[in-house]
Amino acid sequence: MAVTMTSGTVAGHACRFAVALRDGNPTPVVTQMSMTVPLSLEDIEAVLWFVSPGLDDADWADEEYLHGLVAGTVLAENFTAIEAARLQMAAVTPGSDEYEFAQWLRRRVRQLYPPEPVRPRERELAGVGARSGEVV
Amino acid sequence: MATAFRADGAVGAHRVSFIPVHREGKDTPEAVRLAVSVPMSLDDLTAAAWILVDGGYPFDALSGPDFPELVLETVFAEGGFRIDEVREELATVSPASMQGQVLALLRQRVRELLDAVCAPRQPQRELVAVGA
Repeated sequence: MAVTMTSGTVAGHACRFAVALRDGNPTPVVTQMSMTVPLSLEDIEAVLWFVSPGLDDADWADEEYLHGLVAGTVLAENFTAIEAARLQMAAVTPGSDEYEFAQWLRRRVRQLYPPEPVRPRERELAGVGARSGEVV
Repeated sequence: MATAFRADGAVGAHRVSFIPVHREGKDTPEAVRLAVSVPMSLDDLTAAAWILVDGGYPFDALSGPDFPELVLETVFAEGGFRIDEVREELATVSPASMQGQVLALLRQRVRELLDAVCAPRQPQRELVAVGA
């Protein structure tokens, strides 16, 4: 049975991913359901922690794949599973290999989804640029 | 802490906003937006409605303008694997059983609600008329 792919965006990055509920589902499509959902970096960390046992170095290096993985996993899994992953990730013992991996994963998520840079105009309004006079 | 985050969505052409379950009671800031579109069958939607009714949501309240919001919220909260699992379970229900009769009513209700919220066919007729 063909796997249905769908498209989406995560933080504006386009991605394609397999739809879990259409995997081997023979019932005919009658409508499209769309959603735009806010995610925190913690949410994304939990999602990637959840799927991390199945990922290799090449997967971690492939940004487009990771965007699709985030979207596909958020849609496929229920919230309880992701929440359990979040709590598990938060509870790792400092110094352990798991802790090192959690720290690495957090850095990777911040590389994938860097915070929006503050634009010069906003800096001026905030008084930051005026005081230091630095060139942005 | 209550959060003001809501998610936007649509079933067919019907737009709704819903509470994304993963943001309830969280105070971590929103960092990114995830936007996706998912193809749904009548059986997928019925499975979501079944989860609602099975969880105690009154059948008679499953109507009108709240329906798309409820279904979106449920699909998001339960996840695609769970919806698929329930759809497969429902496919094996005997139509003659009590459960089968409830399912038939629910399926009919979902079909009516879907017809009511999905893209009207009117514009298509206009396009045909223009082309002719």
